[in-house]
Amino acid sequence: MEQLDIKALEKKAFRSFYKDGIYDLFMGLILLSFGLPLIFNEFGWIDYETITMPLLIPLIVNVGALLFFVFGKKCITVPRLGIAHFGKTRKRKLKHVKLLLAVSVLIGVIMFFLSLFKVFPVGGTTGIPLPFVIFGIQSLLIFSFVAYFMDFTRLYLYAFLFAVSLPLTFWLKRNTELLYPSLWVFTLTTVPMLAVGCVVFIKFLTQFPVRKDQGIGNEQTEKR
Amino acid sequence: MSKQRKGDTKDLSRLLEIDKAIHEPARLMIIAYLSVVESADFIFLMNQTGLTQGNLSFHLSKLEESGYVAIKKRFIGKRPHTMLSITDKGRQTLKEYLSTMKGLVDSLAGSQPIKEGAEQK
Repeated sequence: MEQLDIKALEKKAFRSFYKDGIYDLFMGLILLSFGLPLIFNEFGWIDYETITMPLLIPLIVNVGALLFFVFGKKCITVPRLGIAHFGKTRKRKLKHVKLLLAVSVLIGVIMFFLSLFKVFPVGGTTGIPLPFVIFGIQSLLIFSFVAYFMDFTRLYLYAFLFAVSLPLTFWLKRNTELLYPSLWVFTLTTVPMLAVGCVVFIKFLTQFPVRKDQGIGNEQTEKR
Repeated sequence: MSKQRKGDTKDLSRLLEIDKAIHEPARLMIIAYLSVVESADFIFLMNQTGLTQGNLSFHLSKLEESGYVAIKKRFIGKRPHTMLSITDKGRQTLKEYLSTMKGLVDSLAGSQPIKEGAEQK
């Protein structure tokens, strides 16, 4: 019984760092970076004759998302929520997370270049290129494991949204007459993340004002 | 005196052995949160416990006096930054406290309740 309570307390303390909504916004921006080249291509704003724009757009958005994450945590979350260094078990879990994310990024980059140079044929009757099927499966698996290790429940849903985004876009393009399928799919998949992120972020700013560490013994004496 | 009553007195007398430094609700909350992290700063603890700055500062001083909490003060630029961690003594005391309280609660739950209006013999 004691162990269960302490575990729940540790989980509660660790999960408090998701109250800022920054992870949600970050995930939404990353997924958006995958969709923007497709959307811009649908509207005729870029083509895939040169790889510059299809590479540059995700790169800019990813760098922006990363900067937002790093500086958001440092300048917005830490002054409001404080800092905690968790124990060995949590550190070990975070190591697993970093490894999984590194693998995910590597697979994503490989699949991106393979699909760009059309190395894989389109997959069977579904019309979905194989790299995007692989992308979908690895997104679902890796983000689900990350959600488990990080006790971040919302990430299970985001894993699903990541997984369906690219395969669904290509399936719709091949098998339906829907106009701008990329726009539809990436609106439906990124908007929930960004909306949740914005709501949680605004709630966080109102609930957690910036606090000053006055230190121990420097406060005015008050009635206890 | 019945055996049941003797047992009750012995169990309840363990209440007197409880460490008062840790028994206070706010201090128990503080030490519990510190037990689940390696270290945390003042602001984190304030958010988790919901205590005011003054209140938290007072209780942390008490815990530091008892040797249960280690406090490290430093400056980041011009801003004070206080890092807190539970000591080995604090961890052991918390463990013993939880064990004692669990034992007491279990024994009270198992003992027969006194009926209303019954005469004491």
